[in-house]
Amino acid sequence: MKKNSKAWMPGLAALLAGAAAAGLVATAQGQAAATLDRAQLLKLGDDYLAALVAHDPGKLPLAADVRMVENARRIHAGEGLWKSTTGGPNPDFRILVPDPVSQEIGGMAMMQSDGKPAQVGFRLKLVNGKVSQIEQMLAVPRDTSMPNLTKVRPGIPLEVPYEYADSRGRMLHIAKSYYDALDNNNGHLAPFAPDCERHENGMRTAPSGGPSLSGAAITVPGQPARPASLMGLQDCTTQMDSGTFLYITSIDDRRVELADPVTGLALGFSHFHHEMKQKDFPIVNDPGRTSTTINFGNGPFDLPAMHIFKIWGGQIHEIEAMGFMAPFDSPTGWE
Amino acid sequence: MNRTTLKVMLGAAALLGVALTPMLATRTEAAQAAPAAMPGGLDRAALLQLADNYLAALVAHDPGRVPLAADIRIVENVKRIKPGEGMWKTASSGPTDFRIFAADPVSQGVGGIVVMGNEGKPVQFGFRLKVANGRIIEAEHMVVALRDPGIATLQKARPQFAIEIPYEYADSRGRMLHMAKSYYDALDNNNGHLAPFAPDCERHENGMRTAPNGGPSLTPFRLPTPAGAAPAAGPPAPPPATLMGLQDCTAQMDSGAFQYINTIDDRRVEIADTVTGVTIGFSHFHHPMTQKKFRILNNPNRDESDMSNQKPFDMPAMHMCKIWGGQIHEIEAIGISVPLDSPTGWE
Repeated sequence: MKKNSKAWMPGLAALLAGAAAAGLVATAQGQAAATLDRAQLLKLGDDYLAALVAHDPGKLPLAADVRMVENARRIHAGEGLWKSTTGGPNPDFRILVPDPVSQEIGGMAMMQSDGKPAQVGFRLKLVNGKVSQIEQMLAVPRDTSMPNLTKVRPGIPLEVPYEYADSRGRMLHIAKSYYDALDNNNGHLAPFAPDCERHENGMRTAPSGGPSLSGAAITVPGQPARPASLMGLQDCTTQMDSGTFLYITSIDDRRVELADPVTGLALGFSHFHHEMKQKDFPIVNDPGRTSTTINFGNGPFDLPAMHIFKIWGGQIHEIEAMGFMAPFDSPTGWE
Repeated sequence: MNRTTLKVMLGAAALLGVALTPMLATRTEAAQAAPAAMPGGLDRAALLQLADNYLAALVAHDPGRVPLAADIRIVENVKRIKPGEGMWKTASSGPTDFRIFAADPVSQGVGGIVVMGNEGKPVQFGFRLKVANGRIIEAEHMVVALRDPGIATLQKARPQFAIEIPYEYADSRGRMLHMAKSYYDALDNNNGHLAPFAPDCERHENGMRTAPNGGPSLTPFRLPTPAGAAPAAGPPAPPPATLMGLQDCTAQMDSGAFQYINTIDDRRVEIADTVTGVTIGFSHFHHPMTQKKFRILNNPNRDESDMSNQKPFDMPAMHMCKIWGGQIHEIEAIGISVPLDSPTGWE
């Protein structure tokens, strides 16, 4: 983390204090508090997607003081996706991550918004059986990314066999370590499997490069494809080690609270900051280049993001991520 | 596993023919099924209490102090014994500060390695108890005399073993069993990458630190004395100075230093304590020693291990692994040297 993130700390502290307060309420009410089991949370996830299409959050068991955030802005019923959703979800692209311990259900689905394909990420938090937080994220995919957004990768929904299934605690730790690896440009800070594959807004961004992908690979959105080089495919680990993500100044507001040991899926929301004071970054261990020039054309920007991790055998195998560009130093919507 | 073994196994597979397929299918199903805690079984605290009571009952020479099933099977150093025999008769004092336990409410197993008295002399006592309906149906004992009662490593258990694992570092029971089993694959296949050894992995065998090993400052490793042979006099000679420093658990196995182990069979890894991250496995090593010289890899100072003086032997063994964060950090192992192709005692 390079950026002085002090400016963010009050917001983060407020968020944490809010979460702690919610926890206290739940504890105070003890055993009487209603909690949903995994199956009930899964049903709630589907009910939520249906409620978006119906434009009616009232179809969900909302708490009186429910807070809704869409793309880092506070919204209310009748706004955002509650108004624009015109269809979905695509049954072939719908990932749900229930967590009975944190009483949250999150996921990602391909929906229709204003008649166009829309990638939707979400997270609902329950307190005493009522939805107290709804966080939703909308990304409009590029046409070229649609092939990867019509059907979920087959490994993602599979249940994990007993001896390969990590504990919930390990899953949360491993999912959190992803942000450390990315923020610190050290691929060894997260346990990436050799087969680790990451999609971002439908684009395959890892493994990246390789002669067979030259001209088609997009390592970083907006960058021109690289010419043929000695370097073959870079896996998740070496890609981060190379320094290709040095343009990310800091990753803040990391909220990794959902882990489903049945499927090995963990879900995290976070907020990327890119000051872009620097345009050229050194690249290591690539005989084809010693630096990269990052120019998204818009100067500094933020990228609120959501990542779903497929974890088994102690390693991260798949990452399905989405994010959207926002003005630099945007609020998170939870202030 | 060397090439000869593979051939033998392939031959055996051909002989077994159809029978092999259902066996493999059963193993796969077993690996996938998620076992639940036995209804009405003992919880972790009760299992740990039972282990304490069992050790006290041994010292009291009184099997009546613990709930033994009428048809209990007890094996001590690969021989079947009855209540009142073996350590039931010879145990002379209870555990010292060297005590490592692990309890598993799912498999209803509890066990550990302690240093205690046997006929007035200190021994390492490894054991495992299997419980059904609150009664002990299987007890396995392994008794190993201390080569040197003053050995520092056996005065007190390494403190890490007892430490509880924080939530985000604690592996699931399934993962722990898988990792503990993978130790035998790594050792048998001479491939240190088959098990997730942590960089700090440290293994003790009968109190000797055998990994990390080598390096100028360390106690040299010596193989156990074969059955019937006189123990070697004095401490092993220090190794000559070499380029090679400490070898960690991974590099040591990769080097080929353990090729003299022909097979590791009868692997029974059923106890995983998710609170402390400690597992227990029993197994049976075979060393026919038909091959005497083995190629050593990646060591600039030696390219061969000459074991011409080693007689054939088996080594029934017990390993306790400390596992957290997806890696094996400590291994406390004991073993006894017995004639080649000994029975396990469970036949």
